[in-house]
Amino acid sequence: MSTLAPDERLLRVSPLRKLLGRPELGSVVGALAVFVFFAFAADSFLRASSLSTVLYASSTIGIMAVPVALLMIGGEFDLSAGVMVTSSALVSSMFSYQMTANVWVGVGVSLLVTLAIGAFNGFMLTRTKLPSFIITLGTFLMLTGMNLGFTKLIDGTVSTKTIADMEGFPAARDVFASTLTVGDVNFKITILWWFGLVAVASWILLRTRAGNWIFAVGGNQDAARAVGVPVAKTKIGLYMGVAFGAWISGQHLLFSYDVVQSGEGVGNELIYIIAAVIGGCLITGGYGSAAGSAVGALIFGMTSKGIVFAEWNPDWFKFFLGAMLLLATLLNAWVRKRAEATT
Amino acid sequence: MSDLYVTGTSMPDVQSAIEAKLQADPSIDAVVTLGAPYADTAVKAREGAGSKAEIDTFDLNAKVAAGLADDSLGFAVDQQPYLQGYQAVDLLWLYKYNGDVLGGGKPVLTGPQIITEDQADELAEYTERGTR
Amino acid sequence: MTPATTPTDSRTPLVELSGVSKHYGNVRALEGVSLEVHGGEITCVLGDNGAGKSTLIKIIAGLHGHDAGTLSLDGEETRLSSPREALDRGIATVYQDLAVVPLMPVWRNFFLGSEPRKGTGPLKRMDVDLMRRTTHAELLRMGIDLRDVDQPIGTLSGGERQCVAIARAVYFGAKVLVLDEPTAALGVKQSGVVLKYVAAARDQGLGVVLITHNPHHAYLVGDRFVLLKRGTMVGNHARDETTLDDLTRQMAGGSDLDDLRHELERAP
Repeated sequence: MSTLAPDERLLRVSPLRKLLGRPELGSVVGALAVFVFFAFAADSFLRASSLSTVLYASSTIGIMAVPVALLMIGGEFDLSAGVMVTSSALVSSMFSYQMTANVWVGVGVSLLVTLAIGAFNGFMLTRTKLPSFIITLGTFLMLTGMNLGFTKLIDGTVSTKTIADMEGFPAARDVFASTLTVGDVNFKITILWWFGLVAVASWILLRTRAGNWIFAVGGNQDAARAVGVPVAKTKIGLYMGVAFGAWISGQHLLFSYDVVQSGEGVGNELIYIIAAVIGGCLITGGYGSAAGSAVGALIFGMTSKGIVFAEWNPDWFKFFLGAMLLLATLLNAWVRKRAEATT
Repeated sequence: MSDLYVTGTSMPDVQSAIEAKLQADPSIDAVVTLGAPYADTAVKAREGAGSKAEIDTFDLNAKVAAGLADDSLGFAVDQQPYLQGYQAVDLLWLYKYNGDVLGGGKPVLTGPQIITEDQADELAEYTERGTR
Repeated sequence: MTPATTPTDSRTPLVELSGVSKHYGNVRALEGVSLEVHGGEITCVLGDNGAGKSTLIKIIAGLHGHDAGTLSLDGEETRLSSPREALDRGIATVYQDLAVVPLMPVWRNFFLGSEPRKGTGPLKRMDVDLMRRTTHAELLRMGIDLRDVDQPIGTLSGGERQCVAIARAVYFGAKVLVLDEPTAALGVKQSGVVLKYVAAARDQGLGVVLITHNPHHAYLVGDRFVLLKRGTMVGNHARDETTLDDLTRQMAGGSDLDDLRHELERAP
């Protein structure tokens, strides 16, 4: 067959337009808008130390938002993500205190236990075919109960005992909870973990066949299965990815604050989802990016701390937070629409 | 005096919120937390913000006792919950056994006790035990 | 590659169903259906809605197992346990909903499930360049010049998506191509384009199973015809044993159509 004439229906699209149409770059516009807003609204916002505070707040959300975004792209939710972080910290702390001489053993055991919880979520989903919302809601409630129950049972109170004097604690603190100094500004190490996770997750999503499977499983699960994609394995893998993020976050929690409160984490699962959605992930699955979730976490961090920097009436804090998030999302959607519209 | 609302179920959020407030308003000279676990977090936030504000708290736990002793905390307002529970039962027993009414019908206060550096050392073992 | 002239019974069929039945609970979806697919030939499966065509496809594609009868591949009796197994044995199925993921770009869809990789160990990654180039080249071979293989496949027209799906099957070395109502949702011109590609696939030596409820399209390209009605086989003819009129009549219900005409006649 001879070469046909180029498809005349394809209009020439400028590279800038194409750029603005990508899921995450639309939300970058929202992030810039929030940044500029608070730069003007708050005197103390534009200092290096303030931005370091904002980055810390964003990174602790961002570390979980990355695997939660990947899971959302794969078409599922995990409502247990928030309390799983606390479970991971509790296991590390209590196992180390009760069973070993070195905290690193507790850290290792916690990794296995947390991954097992993730695998449980994935396994239940693929076996029962119930909505992930329901299954992870059940896991959320069970973990909340276990967090309290086991802590009271083993330590007698609702928080764990201090392990700061145990062997390996200083090294673990360095890895998971230290502060790096660049010039005269301090940066928490969670920022590095955050960026690292974004890089790895982006590479997986865009350059590996597992990433192709994630998009496919979220976009059209039946089609994926029909062409031989291992749907069950992909979903279980995604849930274990969330568990891995929970382990990192949990170890940070433990080695930063030493004593773990068993009631922590409730409500954070929604914040991770919000960050992913603001960053361009479709709630229905099949579309989104890890970088987008980072931008979403950044917008959340800038907004929640920016309001404090701006010293607005604290009673209205939640209202301002919700309103700004809505505005950021609307701006993102508007930019996407303009980019995709034909001239 | 101004309020700061924090998400109690997320320690990193609490820390960064207090840090931000201290960075926004350098004139703040004291931070009072409404729960013992948050005192230690406030101390870290103060460190991160490079502030000189005094951290005070309500309620007591092992870390608060240690903080009072090493001067990272100013004072703690302890409502003495162990006493609240114990005395209530004790009063009932006295009334049943002997018809006694402690306080002669007037309120009997179980606290608060304002703990500072001076009392902190002797309280350490009681906080470890979990009764203070 | 054996040139396709008249179907010879001496060659082993690529796929052969013999007396195959399938039940869902107490619903009889298929009963005693037989068909043969030879390389370089097109076997058409005709039937109205509810005739059991979808079930037949799912059995050949490995989505469901048959309850009775035999399924033979290359003369060897077998039972397919998954779509992956069917694919590995050379059976490529193009479904009515095309088994494509609308939000994903064309090149990702083209290689879905069979992504080529390069590198070793943890750095093993998809060969994106190869995937993009190949997609563009294979589609060009079928006559579609997609300047932008990055566009989501959902933005292509129905006929174009069919052709991508067929090109995908041919590229991955399918020996048997199963097409589920490829022209059902298409206009006349697009249907013609798709049927040409189906013929092109046949000419490359593939065996084709073409499911359709359109006897005209079937007769244009078919070498064998199997007619299904409410789960049972009511006809199994080679091309030289039947005519288009025969097929149309049988498809439309034969004597049932005469009764219907009688009922619908206006009173004189």
